[in-house]
Amino acid sequence: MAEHTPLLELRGVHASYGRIEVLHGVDLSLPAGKVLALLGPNGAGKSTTLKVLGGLVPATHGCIHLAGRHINGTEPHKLARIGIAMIPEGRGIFPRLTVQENLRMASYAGVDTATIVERAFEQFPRLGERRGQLAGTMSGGEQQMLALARGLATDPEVLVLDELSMGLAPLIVSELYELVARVAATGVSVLVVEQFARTVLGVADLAAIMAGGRVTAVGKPSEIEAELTSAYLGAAT
Amino acid sequence: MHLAQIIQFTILGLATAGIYAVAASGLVVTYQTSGIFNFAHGAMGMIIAYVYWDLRVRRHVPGPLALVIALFVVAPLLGALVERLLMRHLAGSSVITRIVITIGLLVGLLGVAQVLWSGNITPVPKLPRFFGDNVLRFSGVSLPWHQVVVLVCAVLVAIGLRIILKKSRLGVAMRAVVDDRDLAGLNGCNPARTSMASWMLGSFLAGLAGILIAPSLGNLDQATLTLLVINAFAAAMVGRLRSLPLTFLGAVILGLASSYMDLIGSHMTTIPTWYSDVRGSLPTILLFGVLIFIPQDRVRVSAAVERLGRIPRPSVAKALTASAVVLVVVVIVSSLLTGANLRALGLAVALAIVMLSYVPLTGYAGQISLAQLTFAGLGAYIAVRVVGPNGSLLGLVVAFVAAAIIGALVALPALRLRGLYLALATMAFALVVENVVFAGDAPFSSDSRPFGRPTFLAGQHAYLLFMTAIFVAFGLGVFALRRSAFGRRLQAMKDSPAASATIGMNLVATKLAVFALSAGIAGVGGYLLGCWKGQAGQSDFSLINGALPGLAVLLLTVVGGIAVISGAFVGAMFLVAMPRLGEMVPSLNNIMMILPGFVGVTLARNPDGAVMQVVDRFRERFGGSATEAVGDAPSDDGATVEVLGPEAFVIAGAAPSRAQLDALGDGLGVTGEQCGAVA
Amino acid sequence: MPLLDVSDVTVHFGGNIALDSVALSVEAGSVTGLIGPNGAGKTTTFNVITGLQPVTSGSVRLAGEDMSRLSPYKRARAGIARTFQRLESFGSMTVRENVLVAAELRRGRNGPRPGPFADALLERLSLTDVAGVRADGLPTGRARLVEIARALATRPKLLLLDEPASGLSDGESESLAELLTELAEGGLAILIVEHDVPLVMRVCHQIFVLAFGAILTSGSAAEIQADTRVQEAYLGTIEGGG
Ligand SMILES: Nc1ncnc2c1ncn2[C@@H]1O[C@H](COP(=O)(O)OP(=O)(O)OP(=O)(O)O)[C@@H](O)[C@H]1O
Ligand SMILES: Nc1ncnc2c1ncn2[C@@H]1O[C@H](COP(=O)(O)OP(=O)(O)OP(=O)(O)O)[C@@H](O)[C@H]1O
Ligand SMILES: [Mg+2]
Ligand SMILES: [Mg+2]
Repeated sequence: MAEHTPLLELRGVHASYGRIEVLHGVDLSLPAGKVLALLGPNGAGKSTTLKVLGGLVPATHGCIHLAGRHINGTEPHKLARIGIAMIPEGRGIFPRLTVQENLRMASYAGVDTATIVERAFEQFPRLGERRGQLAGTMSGGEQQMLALARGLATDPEVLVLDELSMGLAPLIVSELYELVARVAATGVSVLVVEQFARTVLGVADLAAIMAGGRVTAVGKPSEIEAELTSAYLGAAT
Repeated sequence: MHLAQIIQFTILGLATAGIYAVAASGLVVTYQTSGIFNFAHGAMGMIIAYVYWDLRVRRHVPGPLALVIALFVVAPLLGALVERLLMRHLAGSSVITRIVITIGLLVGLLGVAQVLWSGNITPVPKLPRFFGDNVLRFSGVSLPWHQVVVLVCAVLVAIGLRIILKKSRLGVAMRAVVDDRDLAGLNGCNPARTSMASWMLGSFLAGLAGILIAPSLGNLDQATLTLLVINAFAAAMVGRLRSLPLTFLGAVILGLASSYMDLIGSHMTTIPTWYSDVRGSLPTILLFGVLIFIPQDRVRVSAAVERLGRIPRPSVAKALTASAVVLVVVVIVSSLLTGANLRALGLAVALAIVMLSYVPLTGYAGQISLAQLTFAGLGAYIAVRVVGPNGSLLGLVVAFVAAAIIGALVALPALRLRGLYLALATMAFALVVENVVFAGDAPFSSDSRPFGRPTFLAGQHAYLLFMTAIFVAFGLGVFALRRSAFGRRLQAMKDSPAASATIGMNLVATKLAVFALSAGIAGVGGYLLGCWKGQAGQSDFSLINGALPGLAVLLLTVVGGIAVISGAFVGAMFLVAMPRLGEMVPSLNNIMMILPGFVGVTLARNPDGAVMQVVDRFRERFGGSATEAVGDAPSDDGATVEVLGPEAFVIAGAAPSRAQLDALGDGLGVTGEQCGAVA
Repeated sequence: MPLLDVSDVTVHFGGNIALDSVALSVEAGSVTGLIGPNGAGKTTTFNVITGLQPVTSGSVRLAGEDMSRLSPYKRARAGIARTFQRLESFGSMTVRENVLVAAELRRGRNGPRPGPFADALLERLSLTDVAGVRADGLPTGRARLVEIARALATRPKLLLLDEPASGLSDGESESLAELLTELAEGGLAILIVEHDVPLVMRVCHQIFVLAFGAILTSGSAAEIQADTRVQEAYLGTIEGGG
């Protein structure tokens, strides 16, 4: 690990919803060109960590660095333009926009619409068939594809994926993970939160376990797998 | 009828259609790009028309320059201001909050206009027509040039909007921000700037409509101009608030229908009253018809996440204490008051009952009605017709039953409607009742129908106490409802109609019941109000124009807290006290004119209402838990378990323990059998 | 006679055919799987069974009775309950109230009292610790359990689960599997849509595979896993399939 300079780094990050603190000092570093799997039980604060990265939830303490740059408090749209593509859990699409219009919105991050559309339809032919359909009327999995298309087609520096496989058929999930690995090989850092630990550990370079609002273990997937069982079974308490 | 005459009326109709089209497309565009149906669209147009008039006529700025300043400087500025101060904070808020905010804005802007350009201002405000009174003539038909300008503008606006909305990325972004503000940010689009652009555009369109329409109305009149846009609602609804071409079609239908009715009318020797009533209410009747008959979107596109409001669940002890406090306060305060102040207090108590009717309907069940004051008026009217001008307690029963039946009847066609559509349908109902029923009864229309009280309640103080007791009784009833199975059902229906149906809830019956109940409560409030005043009528129960406009009633109910029983009381006090203060302290008059509107604006920050906000503050300061809405989990004997504090969230978030996971597996054998048992 | 019998159901959305003559059946006391690629029409099938989606043609029968003309709430009273892929919990209500409101709607003369019944269900799904928490504050995984508890509170004969394990951790989906097996042993008929293939293979007695709106095949877990068409259309050849 030491040989990589971290592209993205969180140091002692705290965050709250209202007066309820849910992150109590998260430390995490993500080297360039690597896939980091963030695992942990329900409610551990994984999604919240990602929201902090996307600028949706402010960090109340601690700092976040992107390529050495301090990015605390930067607004989401600015983060998106400097290369953080974050795909939120569940709702990654604009339901009342068509598929094509959804992709057009992705062009705000810097890549032109035509390129995005071309890449998206190549990766997910299903979307090409549905280009004029309102995204909200598509099936759950189709919506997830559309959400991912944004992250994959906009040339980000850091790709942040919350529950990538949620609602997707196994065939597609395995294809997507191959794609994620290929994207990482081009130098993009990928942070992915997953519930299905087994699948993601196949492609991850690093894994971290979160429990009770803290990162409790980081290491190679093989090292982490053993810890995983105990983390899910109550280590958080 | 000559052909030339028909053509002439057709052209006139089209010119009116142009006006409706400009106004309606502004509404549609604002709705599409901001997610808000702007009731204040007309008021914004009115302000800008006045600015234009002020510049051009009063300050002698050259016409074109005045036009440019009004439309391209003042209008966008107004839009930006509205966005910055109000709309920005509304992302994810409930439909009711969004409706009420613009109602507040409407009332507030009317107040501003009254302060800036009040009463006997000289010269009499009147906007010149474009090209003066010149008329375009061809083949026996004449059309003022001004109308030609209106028609041309309508078409240009349509084309321009189509390009902006469908072809430009900004247009897509505006709609995207409505869908999901956060996600728009994650995409790299600046949501704040985008929605500011939408409001600048919306305000420009409002201003354009105001300036084009105003000259056709003769003298400038603040209220008329503000309300004219309401006539365009029908056209906007034909386009389902989405399609501009259909909106234009709606405008044409509306314009031609009005014009042809005039044509037919001009050939009648005597025009029957119903005919002129229908002609007068045509836009509203059309609005109601359109809402009922054009199918609502079948597709259930899951819209962006709404912040769900909080519904407090006070304990029995608290409810009883609050009731006692209300009674005692009214007794003490009333003993100190006389004359106009006492009358105002009584009015507030009667209104509080009308406002209370919103709590189950809108607060719990999420059904938005703009017709509660109309139900109050109908209850009063029918009761006084049935029991006569001599007072009788029977009148209260009649008012309740009559209003409840009418409420259910209104709900019936409106059952398929939700949210904004329901609000507009009830608004149309309110306007039609006002123009046809209320205006059709001679003493009622002049506010002079006598309402008597039973002899033992003849005294002012006795009657005031009586009304307060009824408020408290209804309040406790609503409180009991909240804690009952029916109350839970209402709340479930509000949160997810689909899930409610799939657990076996009859949505139709539930909606009818809650509509009837709340209309009944409003009816009683209306009858009490009539009896308190001794004489009452149309303007007491009018939606927009009256002494206590129904829109303001809704506004202040929401300000007090739509789901909070005491909120109704607080809201009513506000509503009555503000103009009263203005009368008593003339130096405050201007502020009091603007204030009612702009208190609505506070909602942007605390959608649960003033009462909840105060409660929260109090808790924060004195250490209690602020998670009351999370609930005192009731145990079955009706007693309450202590409110869960913040720790609950932590527990909720913690990993399930081994034991819990096991429990998931073991379970109770009993339940399994029951689940599978054939009933 | 199967408890649920869906025959020949066709659904069009404008020009798209979402379901094309779909037929499937579910037996009482068993767990049936409905799997297939994204957009195959699984959720639409659930909407048809529960009456939220009108059909172009075809019929739905529960215990021999035709449900096709009944509105959603009548079907629910006839014994059909479901959960939603996109959560539909009563967000402003507490977890306990979510379950209680369903129990109250189903209270019969000789049924259990809603309050204790709801509490027992919460206990059974390990939700007691969050009984007083607002449902919209829950993490996805637990919110899914709340939907299951709410569905069970209507004392259904047939339970439809739309991706109940998505958002659950590995450990939790294991517990869910145990729960489903037990419920079926108690006589409940369960139809489950799920992309967690190991879970489906483990609990289902019978599996239907839906692809492009039509039933591709059906059979036992072993048969389905061996079927090359299913592998091509859905499973792929990765370990996720095994
Ligand atoms: N909007 C919110 N308001 C209040 N509390 C919240 C909110 N969102 C999440 N929480 C709480 O914060 C904690 C962490 O939630 P988070 O969504 O980050 O967990 P997670 O690890 O992503 O869980 P999951 O695996 O279920 O997605 C949980 O206890 C959750 O209840
Ligand atoms: N209202 C609608 N209008 C148009 N097409 C629709 C509508 N609803 C669903 N569809 C289409 O019907 C198809 C079936 O959708 P459905 O939601 O049933 O899929 P699914 O099998 O549940 O998929 P997933 O596993 O991704 O949830 C999809 O291709 C979807 O785009
Ligand atoms: Mg999460
Ligand atoms: Mg689905």
